[in-house]
Amino acid sequence: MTRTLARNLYHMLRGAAQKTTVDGLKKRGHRTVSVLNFRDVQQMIGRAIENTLQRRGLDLDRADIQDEVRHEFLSLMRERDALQNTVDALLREKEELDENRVALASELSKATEEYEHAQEAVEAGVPKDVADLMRRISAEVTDTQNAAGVNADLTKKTLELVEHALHDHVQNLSDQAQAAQQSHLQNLQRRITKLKRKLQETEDMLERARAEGVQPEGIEGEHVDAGVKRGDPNFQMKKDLLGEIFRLNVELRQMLNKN
Amino acid sequence: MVTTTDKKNVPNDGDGVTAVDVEAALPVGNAPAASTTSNPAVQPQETKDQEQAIVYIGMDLGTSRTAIACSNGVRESFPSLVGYPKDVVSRKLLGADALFGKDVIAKRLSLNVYRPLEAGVIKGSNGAGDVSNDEAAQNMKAARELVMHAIRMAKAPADSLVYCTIGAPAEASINNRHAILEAAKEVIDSVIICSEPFSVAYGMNVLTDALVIDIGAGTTDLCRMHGTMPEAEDQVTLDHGGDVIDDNLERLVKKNHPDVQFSRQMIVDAKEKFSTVRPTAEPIKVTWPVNGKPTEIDITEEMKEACFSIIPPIVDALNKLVASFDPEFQEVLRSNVLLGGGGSQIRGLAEEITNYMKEHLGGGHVRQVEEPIFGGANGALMISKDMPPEYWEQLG
Repeated sequence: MTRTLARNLYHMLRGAAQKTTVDGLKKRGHRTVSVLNFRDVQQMIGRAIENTLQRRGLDLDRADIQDEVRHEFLSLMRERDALQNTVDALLREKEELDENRVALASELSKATEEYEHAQEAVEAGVPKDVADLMRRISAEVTDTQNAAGVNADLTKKTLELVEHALHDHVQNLSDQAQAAQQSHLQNLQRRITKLKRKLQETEDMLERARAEGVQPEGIEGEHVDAGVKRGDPNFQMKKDLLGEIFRLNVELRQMLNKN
Repeated sequence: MVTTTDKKNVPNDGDGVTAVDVEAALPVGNAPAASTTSNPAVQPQETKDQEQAIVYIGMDLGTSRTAIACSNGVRESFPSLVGYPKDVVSRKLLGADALFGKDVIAKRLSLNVYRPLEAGVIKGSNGAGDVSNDEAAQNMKAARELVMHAIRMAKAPADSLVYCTIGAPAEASINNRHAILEAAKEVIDSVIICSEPFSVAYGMNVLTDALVIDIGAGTTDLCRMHGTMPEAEDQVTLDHGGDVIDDNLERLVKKNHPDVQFSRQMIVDAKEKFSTVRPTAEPIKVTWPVNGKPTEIDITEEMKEACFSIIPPIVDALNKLVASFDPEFQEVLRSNVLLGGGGSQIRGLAEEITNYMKEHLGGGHVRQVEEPIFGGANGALMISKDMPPEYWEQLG
């Protein structure tokens, strides 16, 4: 392996890890840690290549092949890191978009409800408060004009004019409110459509990234043979104790279901 | 490939994923070396898929700290605190709807802070009258999010099942256990609740003729182990834990240094840094303001007195558990006392309890567990892994 390649590989592997102090580990109660030496990694890669070449019986320049494989390895590592970063960013974006979409959907449903209420009110005719106002004005005008000895026809016409003006005003207000509401609804719809599109794009990109073999971050577990080991000196005792814990948990759930 | 393996197995703490960096050496954590250096190429795909399917977790949901130990090698511990931004400006500034653990302490001025557990259980889950319904609901929400945060820290792959054992105080009521189950069920595929001191003992493989003391922030749990599942008469929960030490230290410092200005958090920080019951302890000096001027004050005696205050009730409870045991085995029990939990980190505590037992009970021996912070979580993880799969499935 050339020195540059070795250094690159070394830095890449170091970069994937995070630093801590030995004291820090001790404080957290670690007494031993397993350590994989960088030289072992190099040797393992080298051995894997040699074994593969031998098995295939290929009569190729071993040094050239090793360098090429290591180049490939480094480039795959870089690609994988880049892809992983993209996936993480996309996942974050997807979460935000999901949250936004839910919030917008709720806003839209609220606005639609308000709009429907407003429309129902318009369809129901003159609002009650306007009718009350009209009645009060009518009484006032009639009283005032009667006191002044004004002709009844003139009073009637005056009242019709006032009523007409009030109706026009209410209609204007209603039209304005409806227009504002419509515009608000259209904006919300547009934002939702845009978000849905963005969400779909994000999901598509995630799907493609996953198809490339990159999974959202997570630490897979080592294989666990569940259950108490046969060779455990306390096998029977532990089995009984675990059975008892299980029984108590089943009882707990039964009690909760009853309540 | 190697990078992935390294990420998987490195040990963790509250600050995130960590790894030892010893010159040209790459760490692979505290998992057995053989498992991390085995050749993945020879592993059949089907087996590999099965291995990835379940992540087992042991959780110590404590009043002061929450600790998890997981079958994928993750180990985390963080203060059991949840903070919600006080207003829209804080929300924008903090960039999150909720903060947890150390972040809450650091940003507490911009947050409404919740410590959802009290005396080892979710506040208000007892149905006691001192907590309003709104407050109980808010604590339940915070507890649920605390559990979710802890599970997120386990970094289980999205498609894997999560099986978790959660330690609860020895005398937690049905309502308390229900509340913990409720908090956990949204994020855990199958959950088991287990007595906290029992899980400490199980983790240390001490299942018979032993007494376990688990000192938490809200409570101290004592549990008698005699080879069978501890029953009510084998367990005692005291309302004396780290919080009582904080109360006493605060009271004593106020009394002896009336001019000193300090907050509860400063008291907690001092306790975590200097707590001791050693008669010959080095002087404990803190620099706290007096009329706004940083001033060095000696709180050695206050600290020792405050820390010592939990010993007499613990020894009383120990005596009750020993005295009600088979006389033939009382001596063995007295000589095999395990001390765990965050509170057990008080310097010299095991020795002082031993001395106090000798003085008042005529003898005894106390030893500290290896990992006070992770003792409960480690034990809970062992229970998780030892539990037969069919039990998990039935409880899921």
